[in-house]
Amino acid sequence: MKLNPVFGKELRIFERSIKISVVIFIYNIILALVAFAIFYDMLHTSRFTGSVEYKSIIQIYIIMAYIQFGMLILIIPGLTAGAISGERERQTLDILLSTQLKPWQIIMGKLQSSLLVVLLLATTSLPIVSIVFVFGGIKIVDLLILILLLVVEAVFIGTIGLFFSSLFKKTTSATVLTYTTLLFIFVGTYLFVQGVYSFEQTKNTAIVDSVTDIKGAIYVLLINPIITFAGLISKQAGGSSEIMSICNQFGNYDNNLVVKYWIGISMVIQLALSTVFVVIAQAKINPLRECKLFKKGKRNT
Amino acid sequence: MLEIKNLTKSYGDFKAVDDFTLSVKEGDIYGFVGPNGAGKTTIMKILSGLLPADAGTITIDNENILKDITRLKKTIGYMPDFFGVYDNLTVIEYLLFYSAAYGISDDVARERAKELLELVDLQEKVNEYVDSLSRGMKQRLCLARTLVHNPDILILDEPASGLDPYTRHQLKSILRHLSETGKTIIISSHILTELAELCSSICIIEKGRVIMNGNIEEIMFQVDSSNPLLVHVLDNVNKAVLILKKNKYVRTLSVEENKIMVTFIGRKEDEANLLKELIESGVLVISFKREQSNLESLFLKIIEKGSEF
Ligand SMILES: Nc1ncnc2c1ncn2[C@@H]1O[C@H](COP(=O)(O)OP(=O)(O)O)[C@@H](O)[C@H]1O
Ligand SMILES: [Mg+2]
Repeated sequence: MKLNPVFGKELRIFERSIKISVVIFIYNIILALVAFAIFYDMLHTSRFTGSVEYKSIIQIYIIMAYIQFGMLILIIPGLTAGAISGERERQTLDILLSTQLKPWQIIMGKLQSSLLVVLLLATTSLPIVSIVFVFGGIKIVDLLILILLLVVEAVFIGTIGLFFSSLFKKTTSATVLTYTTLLFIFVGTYLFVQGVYSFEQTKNTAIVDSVTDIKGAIYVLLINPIITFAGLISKQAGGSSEIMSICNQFGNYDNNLVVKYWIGISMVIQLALSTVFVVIAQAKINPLRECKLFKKGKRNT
Repeated sequence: MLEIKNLTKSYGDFKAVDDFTLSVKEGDIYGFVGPNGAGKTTIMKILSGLLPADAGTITIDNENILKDITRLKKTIGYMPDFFGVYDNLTVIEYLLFYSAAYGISDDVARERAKELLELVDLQEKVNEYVDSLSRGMKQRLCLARTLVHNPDILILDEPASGLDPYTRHQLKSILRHLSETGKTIIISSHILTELAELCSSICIIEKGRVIMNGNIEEIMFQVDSSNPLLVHVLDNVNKAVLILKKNKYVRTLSVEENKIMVTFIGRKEDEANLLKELIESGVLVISFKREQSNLESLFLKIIEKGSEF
């Protein structure tokens, strides 16, 4: 398959961007420090117990995974929210659209380059993560599934950024809206579920011995990447199912199939939403699209 | 080769292009002239597939290219009036990126980029960063970029605005060279003098309509013929006036010492015959000429006339 030209260009620009190098450098320093701290603690304890705590090694893995996830949430919106509006502001979008590139190729090229950052973060941290394998406790498959989930979440967050970037002329507006939307997805969905629960609870106060159950409203959390991520990590770390315990706070989901296969289902739903965002974004930058629906507010520069 | 027929485009209720019809021959350098807001950019964007037209057709070799966008993009190279470049890309990378955007393979693109950089005289800047180039160089690089896919038609929106005279001259010689190699060029400007020496034809646009178009000399003559004829004689002013009064193309006449101003509505031949008659009758003529409009007053005159429609 031929390299997407837009991706190729972004690659060149990344390669020379000081910003990206600094981010990766800082990220690796954080990882190294955290790993060092945990090891130090581990060795310190083992001096008294005479054995290496298997749990601490899993802990390194968990912390690494969360740091990667956190970096992803911080970096991807910034990269993608400016991807299209930045071309518009730089007055290069018209030229790009006058070539034989299709609008979806432009969007996909931008998405690919933001995914590249995730892969960069994942691979540069491999040396440190590999320590975990040396001591055992986590399998290679687990790591691959973790990377897969990171990529899915990067796609989900990235397409939200691209969606707003194609919608707005100014990168600032696109960035603000991307972060606001993400805040709603990360925190708002949880607050929503809690709200529904409180509402149901007040309804039930009259009935003695009743158990409040919000039933289908829990599925809103399927679009929340934090829940998905926490679910996967707790599962890999061998603990109890985090998702089941979260859901059961709001009702009885012991035999619920969606909750049982939550991680896979939420990944599929998030990818489906991403597809919708990409379709809208490419339609939005297509200058010849007949449909006027998304067109309002757009001005040609 | 390029036929624009009844092209119409509105922004909301505002008609930016109004039933615009024009035909451009292969190898022409066609100038679009009109004041700001006349609709030049809008027409050029429609031609480049960056705006949908409300109505009308654009045909190249008898095929409506508005219905075949891939063909349109292959045939046309577009340079916008305002454009930016990417930081962190070198001149060669810049050209290779746009070549890739046209699906051109890397080695073909490299070969072509070399030729194009020679054409626009930037071969020494090949490995320099694009954003370190001067404005004129960026303009030339962007011109090279419009050529990466070897289009038959170039559409250049106000390429000369904001350039110093030397760079403008350089741009002109490049464009002339391109036209000699068979490229059709459409170029816009709000300043007629910028285009006059360069274009083979011009189209004067106002309020989205064609006010006048055709060969540049013909247009100048059409407008010049409404200028007075200035006859300067050595003596025999009265005799000259008598002859002039008899001529059927003379409308008004004013005398100031031995200079006579004549409103003359005839064609070139009639003008020549009048001169012959004066000389044969023994009047000593020092000079006999149409007052030339300078280009700017010509332009204003046409625009004024156009608004009377
Ligand atoms: N996207 C747009 N929305 C609304 N009006 C526009 C838009 N683009 C251009 N116009 C208007 O259309 C007219 C023609 O503009 P333009 O084609 O840019 O003229 P020119 O290039 O000859 O200066 C102007 O009056 C301009 O204000
Ligand atoms: Mg313009």
